[in-house]
Amino acid sequence: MDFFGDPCTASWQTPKGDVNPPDRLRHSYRVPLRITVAGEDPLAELVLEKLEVEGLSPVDLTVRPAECVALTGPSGSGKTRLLRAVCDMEPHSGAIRLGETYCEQTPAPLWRRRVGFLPTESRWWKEAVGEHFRDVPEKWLDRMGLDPEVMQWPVSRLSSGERQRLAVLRLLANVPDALLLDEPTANLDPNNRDRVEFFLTDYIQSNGAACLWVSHDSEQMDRISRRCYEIRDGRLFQVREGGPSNGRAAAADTGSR
Amino acid sequence: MSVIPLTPLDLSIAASLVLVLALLSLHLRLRLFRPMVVAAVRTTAQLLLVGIVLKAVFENVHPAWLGLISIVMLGVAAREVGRRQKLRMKGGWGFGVGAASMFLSSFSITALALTVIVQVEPWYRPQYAIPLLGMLLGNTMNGIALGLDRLSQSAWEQREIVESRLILGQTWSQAIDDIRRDSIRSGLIPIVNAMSIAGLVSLPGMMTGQILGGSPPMEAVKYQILIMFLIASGTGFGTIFAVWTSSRRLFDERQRLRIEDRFQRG
Repeated sequence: MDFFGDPCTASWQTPKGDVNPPDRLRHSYRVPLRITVAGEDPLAELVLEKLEVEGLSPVDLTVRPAECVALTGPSGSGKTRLLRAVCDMEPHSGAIRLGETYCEQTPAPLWRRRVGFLPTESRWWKEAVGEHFRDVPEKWLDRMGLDPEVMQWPVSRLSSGERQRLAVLRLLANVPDALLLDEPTANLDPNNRDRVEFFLTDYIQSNGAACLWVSHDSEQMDRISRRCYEIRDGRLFQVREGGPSNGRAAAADTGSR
Repeated sequence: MSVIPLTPLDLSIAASLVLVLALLSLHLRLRLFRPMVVAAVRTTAQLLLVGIVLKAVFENVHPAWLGLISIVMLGVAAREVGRRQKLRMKGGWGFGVGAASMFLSSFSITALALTVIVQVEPWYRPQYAIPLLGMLLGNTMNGIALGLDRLSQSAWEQREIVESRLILGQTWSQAIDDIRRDSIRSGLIPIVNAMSIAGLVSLPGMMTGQILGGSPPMEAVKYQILIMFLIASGTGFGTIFAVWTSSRRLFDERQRLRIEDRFQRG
């Protein structure tokens, strides 16, 4: 699945600790734009330990590398607040770690680049689209069905669907190690929804990113994830666990515990 | 040549003009009668009071008196900066930032002017120190108030954008950069405009005063140029400091935007 063009083919470092990348990942996946710092886990699990945010009881949750966990619940139940807390935009207590890296010990901007949060609505502050990006492979635009010239466009020219797809690219250009997606396909037509879904699940697999994906669409949750949680009355309930899945992310799960 | 003294009658004639204006505004239902009368009375009372204080200080030249008056002026100016904010920092921060930045800029520049430039002997001679400090404080206060108001308003209106930038991994300083630059500019533009138009439309107040007082025009002009430069630099440094400090205060130690709980509607 050569989704990211032809970036350097990196071999996985043997991660320290207990992280055990799936065999298939270890041997065959290409890692785009990834700079592996010696001693850092190339595959990091996202762990929430007794994470407390206002309005939610403490959350314990581990998302394995390359795993996508779906999160659902009525609006106002605190899904967004939970994601914001994980990327450290919301005051919280308890611990969050990515592999062995603890949130509190990491400078906040660095943490937010590693734990990429995609808000429901994207904001743009410069005149031209391209000014919001440092570097985006042209193939990414193509795979997202975007005009190759889109970087030169003024932001005002974008449709809401184009904004959303560009917001996904803008986030992934940071090459985050974990993803927090807040209804990433909510306002997209089926065609573009599939594009974004495919792009994201592929990123998750090829980068071994741990992902929390908020969705209201149960069919989508079936497609993207095996494990699914629901927030109800300020509590996190597991509504589905494991089992064979027909999902795209299933490939990423084989080989993990 | 010295100033022609004004008699109470002279002032009464001017006051009657204001009274006529106030009555006219009553007739036109501008709802300005009371505010205008109160303001006119305040002008008279405040300036008379200042006159008494200055007279006393001029007769008892001592650095302690000068210090006391400076601190009162600074306090009033800092309070005024806070009063002009629609959205201001909670818990004394607004007052503190305003006072600190005016102290740093106005006081040090006044000290420089007194000791190095004009070389007043002794440096605390109130005829020089108090008017200089007053002009600097007044102008710096305007710049800081404008800059801070712009900063908090823009940060409030654009809080979602600032948050987006933080979420994408920018530092607090990068995320607020555009807003901060605009705010500093809006604090500085009035003095830049004042410098570029000085003398063309109206004669600056201090120069007018000196000329009325009998100084040769060229001396008055040189003093006015000096004052313009001092005001521009004082306003500039003060506004930059105040806007920087306040922009840091918008964020907490984990670089989250905290405008909603650290600022309040004034």
